[in-house]
Amino acid sequence: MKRFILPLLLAAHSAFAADQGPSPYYTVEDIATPPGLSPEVGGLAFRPDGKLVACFHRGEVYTYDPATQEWKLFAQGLHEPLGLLAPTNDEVIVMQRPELTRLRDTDADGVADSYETITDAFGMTGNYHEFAFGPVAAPDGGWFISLNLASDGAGIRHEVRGENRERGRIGRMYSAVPWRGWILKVAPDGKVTPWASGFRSPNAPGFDAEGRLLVPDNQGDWLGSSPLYHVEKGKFYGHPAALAWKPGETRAPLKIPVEELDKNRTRPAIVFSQNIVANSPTQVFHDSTEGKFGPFAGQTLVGEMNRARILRVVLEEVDGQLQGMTVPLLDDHGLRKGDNRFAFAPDGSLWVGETNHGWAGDKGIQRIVWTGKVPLDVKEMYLTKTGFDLVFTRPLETASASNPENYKAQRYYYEYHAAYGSKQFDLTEIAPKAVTVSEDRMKVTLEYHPLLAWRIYQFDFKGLKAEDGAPLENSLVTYTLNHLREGTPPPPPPGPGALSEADEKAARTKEAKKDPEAKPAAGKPATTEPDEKPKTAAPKSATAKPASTPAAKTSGTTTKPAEKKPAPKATPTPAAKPAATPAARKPATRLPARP
Amino acid sequence: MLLRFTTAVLLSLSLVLARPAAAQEVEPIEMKTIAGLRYDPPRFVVKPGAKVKIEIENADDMAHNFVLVAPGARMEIVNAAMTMPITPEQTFIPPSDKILQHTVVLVPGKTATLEFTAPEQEGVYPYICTYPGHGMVMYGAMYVSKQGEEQLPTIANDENLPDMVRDQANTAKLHAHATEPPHWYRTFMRDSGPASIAVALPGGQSYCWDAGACRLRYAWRGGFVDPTPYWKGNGDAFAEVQGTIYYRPGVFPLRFGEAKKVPTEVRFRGFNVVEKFPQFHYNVGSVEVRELIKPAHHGGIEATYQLTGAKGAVYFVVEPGAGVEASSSAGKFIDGVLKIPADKTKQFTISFLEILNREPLAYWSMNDTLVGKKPLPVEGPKGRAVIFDGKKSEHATGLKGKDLAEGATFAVWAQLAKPPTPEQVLIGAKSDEGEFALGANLVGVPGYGVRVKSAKQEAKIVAAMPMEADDLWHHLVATLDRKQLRFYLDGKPAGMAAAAPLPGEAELFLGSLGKASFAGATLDEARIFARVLDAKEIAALYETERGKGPPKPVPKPETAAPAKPAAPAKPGSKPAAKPATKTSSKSAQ
Repeated sequence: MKRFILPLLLAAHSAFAADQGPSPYYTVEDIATPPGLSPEVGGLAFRPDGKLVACFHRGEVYTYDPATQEWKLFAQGLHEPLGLLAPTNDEVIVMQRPELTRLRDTDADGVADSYETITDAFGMTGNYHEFAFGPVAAPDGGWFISLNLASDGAGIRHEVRGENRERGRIGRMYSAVPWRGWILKVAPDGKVTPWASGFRSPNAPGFDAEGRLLVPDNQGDWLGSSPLYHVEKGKFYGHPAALAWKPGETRAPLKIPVEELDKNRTRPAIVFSQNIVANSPTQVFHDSTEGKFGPFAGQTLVGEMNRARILRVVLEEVDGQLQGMTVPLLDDHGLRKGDNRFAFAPDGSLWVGETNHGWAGDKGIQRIVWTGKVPLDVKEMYLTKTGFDLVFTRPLETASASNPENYKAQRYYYEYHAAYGSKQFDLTEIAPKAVTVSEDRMKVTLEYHPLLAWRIYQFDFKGLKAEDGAPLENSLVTYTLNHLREGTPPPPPPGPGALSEADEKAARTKEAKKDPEAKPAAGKPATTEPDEKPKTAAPKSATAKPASTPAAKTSGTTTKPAEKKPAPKATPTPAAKPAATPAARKPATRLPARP
Repeated sequence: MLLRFTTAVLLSLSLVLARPAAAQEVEPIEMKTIAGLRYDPPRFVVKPGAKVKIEIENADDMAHNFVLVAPGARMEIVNAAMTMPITPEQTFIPPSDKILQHTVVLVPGKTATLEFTAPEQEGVYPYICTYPGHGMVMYGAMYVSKQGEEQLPTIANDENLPDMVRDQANTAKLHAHATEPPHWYRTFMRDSGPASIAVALPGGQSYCWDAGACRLRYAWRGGFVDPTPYWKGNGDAFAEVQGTIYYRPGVFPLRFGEAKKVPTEVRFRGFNVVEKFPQFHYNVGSVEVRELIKPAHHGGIEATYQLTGAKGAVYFVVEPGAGVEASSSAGKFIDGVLKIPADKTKQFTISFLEILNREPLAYWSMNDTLVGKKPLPVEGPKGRAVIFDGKKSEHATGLKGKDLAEGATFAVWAQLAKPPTPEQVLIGAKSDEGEFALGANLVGVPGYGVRVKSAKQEAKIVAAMPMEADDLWHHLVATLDRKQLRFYLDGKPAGMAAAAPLPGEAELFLGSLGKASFAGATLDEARIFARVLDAKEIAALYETERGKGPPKPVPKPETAAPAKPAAPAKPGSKPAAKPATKTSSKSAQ
């Protein structure tokens, strides 16, 4: 099949992933798209009759028959469609930039002749960053959609749709018109209920197998690293801009003290470590194939735009809140980048829609088929009182499984603050205090001391292998540990919030003069300019040797010193809290020029 | 007046003398990282061994850096940056002698400056963003070459540039499907709401329908739209009209019960495709409307309305002076108001026939940017206005002198920046045949005025106005036919002269004479008509637009130069009138 991708990207891709051949577990094939189509995929879904429906950046909706490999134009001229559902064979529910639309083919010619607005009851300023995502079908009827904030990389248009609220207009990412930064529930009759707030770029919501609504967001201002949220009605998720539209809230979002924002926010169930796990997570979905797609049936999956990677997420409820692990399902092995949209075909294959629009990546459609072989992977991971239980897909080889060297890890956290991104705070290398391999060699119990809350634990299990010698397929595993099983201490305090009023005025004056000094977004050291060295050295220089050579026992316990650095206090303190007084800080947010 | 005139000439002379010294300064290259993982510009040329200064601004909303590397070393450095250990500092600068220059990682809004001497070795030196994941597609090319930019392959053919950049320079095929009209794009359109629909009709007719306001915003003939500016980059652009707008209704046309009562409550409900045409469906209060627009048989367009739930008579309003002659299948237009009898409201058709040249050939409301992403528009007399920087801001109108051979009117609001540069052209064109300039201080003569010049004739009108910018908005209009050139300032006649012809092949620019005599001014409501407007029309134009803008500052007494440096001046740039003075020195006679 012909690949309609940019030759350059092909070259670049293979240069980067030269060591990655095809996977023995998943085959990845390219689906040819019609010549002349720019296949920047915004949405994918399978109809009940097994045909694929896909929408593309330039406004087309196509149907594709996998049996005949024929494409047919279903609708055209949509405004940046970024998600769709195909509930029946003649109906597509599509989220385009200005509205949620029902496309219907009423005369059975395979082409939509009705473009019905389900709702356009949300604001638009014309700012490029106001993407609209979804829909996902609500279990009780209707849909959920999610709305991006605007970016001060551009202004707002002279004419906007919806009320233009001045106090929502301030900040790097802003919400000048209704429901930007919100997830909305749309009833079947089009009535809109604001559902949850505090999002920045929520691409894109989805349900897990337990029916929980999840949505990822993108690293940026107020987001130290990209999160995955468990979305519940009425909750606030941390980006203050959306609060311009919170009923009863009259303060400008950036005037709300950071401590108050921090107290009111619901923390992410998962934090995807920036530059390590994911930079730009995409659609949430789950393996609904009941085993046709491999050993991870029912698990939650999330795309990642920036790498050729699809992630698995395993959540568990601890202390009433969701948290859990991430691990790649597939990394490279023929998968391209820009993995934005996903749909399972009736045959259990996973169809991936890629886009490079405004982002690094590829464009096109790929199809992933499970070969029937079971990879050695961490299937599940659970928090215990003292560490973690790892559940594997296949029995482990004993020597490597019981070697504590293979369970060395790092832990750190990203700070909640107004500035863009976050460095890793309190980065610490850790080694297990005890490693226990189960009788059937399918489970490893790890103990770490101390086990700290509000940290991301990052593992690289590359030393593990299966009893038949097969390597662990995906060794990069993280666990977002917010709550301990018992006695969770308070979380680390937030970093600097937004501007004080005086700073804001100063910034405004400077901005008017186009003084480049007025532009920095850093109210505190940004990602790349830490003002303090972290307490711990970079992780790659680990020198500690295991206390003993791996024993050739079928199961056992090995102990070794737990920490490379002095044990932190029980109440965690950020390693690098800036000492600057508010007055000494630079403005945290660039003010947009006023029209 | 004479004294000031002399000063202006002296100023021009001193600029001529000062030029050799200025030439030794390094002209900085303004480099931006922009959305879509791109550098703007995607490439530039420097001479071997030349001093180079690059001012890099991160205008995107994610972090980037700028790393200049040796020829051919791009992928090596990208891979090295990607595989280097992640440190909390996250510099992404791998140790390598192939990195010639680099910035730190710039968070959005940050700037950095690199100054260095260009390599002696000619070649293509890539600049890349080594932030993980970016370098595969985010790069550009510094050409070190004794030859100029004109020797390079076109951007679409430049293999040293990312495919994304090349693709966007080559926009021949937009879709896999045929785009025979009728077809449409929901997209961003100028002078309409953000939820707009551009529709192409057979016969070269097109229109823009606003799904927020539920009405036709404008209709045009000629080509359809170029949607690629919106598709490329981040989406902060419009689909641009490729034709001449001839109808631009300013109000919601349907009225129920009373002709003067403009409905306020509208709700868009989508559209059906009827014989391939979109038929819009919306509610106006309790009335359900279906509106189907097709090309009219004798040019123009016709709209068929189907109303459900209308009680009593329905009115349809076409404003006086609109660019169309409207007629209806039911009822009659009287002074622009059509009354449709109650028994005919179920379905009626209104035709809109273009009145040639009634509307401007081109119109810029300036409500959005024209001359680049920044600065963003500011408040003007009507809606927003756009700042022209007096250095290189200009907007090519796509119109030439010959398009206006039968008669022309040029109208624009302008507020000059302080201090005014010697010659500021607000609307201008220039070629070997001659030139046209509407502006201020033309050829060093103080005041607002207009000049038309050909090889044989020259016509010039200057209104007696202060030479310094007075901080006020002024409305400048020039009309020209074969006989006369007339100038109007602030709605009033301000002089006339015997005509000279427009240079036929010269393109008209807003904000300059075409790469010269740039206006340091804020402009609003610019129009170019292919007919001569009379004094009444010009007075009416002025009256309808004045007084709605921001409060006007009290004019300052005409004294010495302003104490504060000019706001738009960049730190380090020369004061006053450094840029582009070729024309003024040459023509200062």
